[in-house]
Amino acid sequence: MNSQARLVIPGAVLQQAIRALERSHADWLACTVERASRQSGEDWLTRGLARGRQLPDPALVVARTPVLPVAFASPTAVLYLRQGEPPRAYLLDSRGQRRPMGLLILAPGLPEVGATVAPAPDAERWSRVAGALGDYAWRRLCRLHYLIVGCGRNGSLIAHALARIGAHRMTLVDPDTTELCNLDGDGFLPDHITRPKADALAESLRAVNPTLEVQALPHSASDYRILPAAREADVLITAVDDDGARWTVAHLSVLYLKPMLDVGTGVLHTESGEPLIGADIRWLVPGECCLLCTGGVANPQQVEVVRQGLYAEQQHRAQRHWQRERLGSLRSLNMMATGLALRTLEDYLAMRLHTSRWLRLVYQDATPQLHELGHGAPNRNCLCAHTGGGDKLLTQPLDSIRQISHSEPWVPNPVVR
Amino acid sequence: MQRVETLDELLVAEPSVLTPPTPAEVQDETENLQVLTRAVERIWRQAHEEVEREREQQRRAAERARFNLD
Ligand SMILES: [Zn+2]
Repeated sequence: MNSQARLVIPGAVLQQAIRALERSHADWLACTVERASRQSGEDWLTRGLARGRQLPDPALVVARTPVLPVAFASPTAVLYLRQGEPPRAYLLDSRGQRRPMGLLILAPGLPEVGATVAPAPDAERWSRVAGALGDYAWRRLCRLHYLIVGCGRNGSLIAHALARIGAHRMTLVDPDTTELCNLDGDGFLPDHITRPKADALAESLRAVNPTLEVQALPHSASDYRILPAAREADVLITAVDDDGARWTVAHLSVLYLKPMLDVGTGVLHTESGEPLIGADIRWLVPGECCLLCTGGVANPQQVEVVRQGLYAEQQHRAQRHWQRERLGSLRSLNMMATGLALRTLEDYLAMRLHTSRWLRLVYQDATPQLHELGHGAPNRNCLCAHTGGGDKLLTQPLDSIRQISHSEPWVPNPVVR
Repeated sequence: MQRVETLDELLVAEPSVLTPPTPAEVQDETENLQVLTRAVERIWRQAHEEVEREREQQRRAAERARFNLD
């Protein structure tokens, strides 16, 4: 079961491919792919249908026949589909030999076959969760590798919630050190003050679940040192207070085909003096949408800072003062937002939620209201243009950057405005 | 051209893994494959329905009046 290479294909791209096959009655068609190396092998990231007459290199061939009527000069991935049969992925080398590949589809349940099998979770300890979610969803939830960017209030709550329901692998990213005011997050102790937040959180998670594999990266999201972890992870989670970091992770999410769960909360100043209390929770599946076409970012200037490099980012962080940006933070609100985020992930893995989602929680006259805002669609100005672009597009400029820095700032709640 | 009916006839066997999968792991992988198969079937059904809708629309658009007598 230990596949070296894995084919990753967004459900939305697979649907396009099948639609094209049905339209043309052809036996096969080609898609463009990028290859990205991971510790456990290599990912073949599907970008979209190939255009033009030339076969792309490298290519994915989506075929309805086991025998292809052409020879391929270089290694080619093949996804063999026949109705009523399980789909199969294999690598066709230039000598015509076929080797099985792992296969991950970015669709409800995040189904994957041929992966390295992680140890079975302790069914007794987590029998309640497994009972509620169903066996498949719970096992999937346990075996996914989470990259959590931001170890503050929201990040620590999510990390602890995941550890307590059996998650097996996590990587924690945060450049900051623990301060006195961080102790309202989960797992932080007075002893942790002055230690990197990521380290402190990792330590507290190991105490909860000694079998957890947790790696702490005390770096900024835009630091190249988090790249290997981003390629390795299955789901990217952002719980940050900086749109530069949020944007950076959103870019990695589309490049390496990693679904992204974004949580943002706020207790904000308003002109009326009444605080604006709310949260945005976004579940973004590459191929369907991205952060920019699904709500964008509230503060595009912070994205500009990240693009100027790590030094500018450090300067910016040092100059920021929380009181200019918010009235304060509420752990109760963090708990609601992270609870909704986790429920969204659970529902997607349990195949009850079928698409990306944007949920907004907002308090109006002391009453919580939940809005389903729908998700966006790929357009020329968003990150979706880089879907599956891997390392090749990592450093390529995006038109969207210019676009977002000149767009109207996105206001947290148009209702209260 | 080679005549084969199934993909398995063509696939090169995987090099044997050091530790064979446990029955629980085999069961997990079977379930994973079932979920994956259902996901693809669902995507296929949606794509098929869309193409059918398109064809129906094209057929309607191509219809011309035929009855022109009193
Ligand atoms: Zn987009």
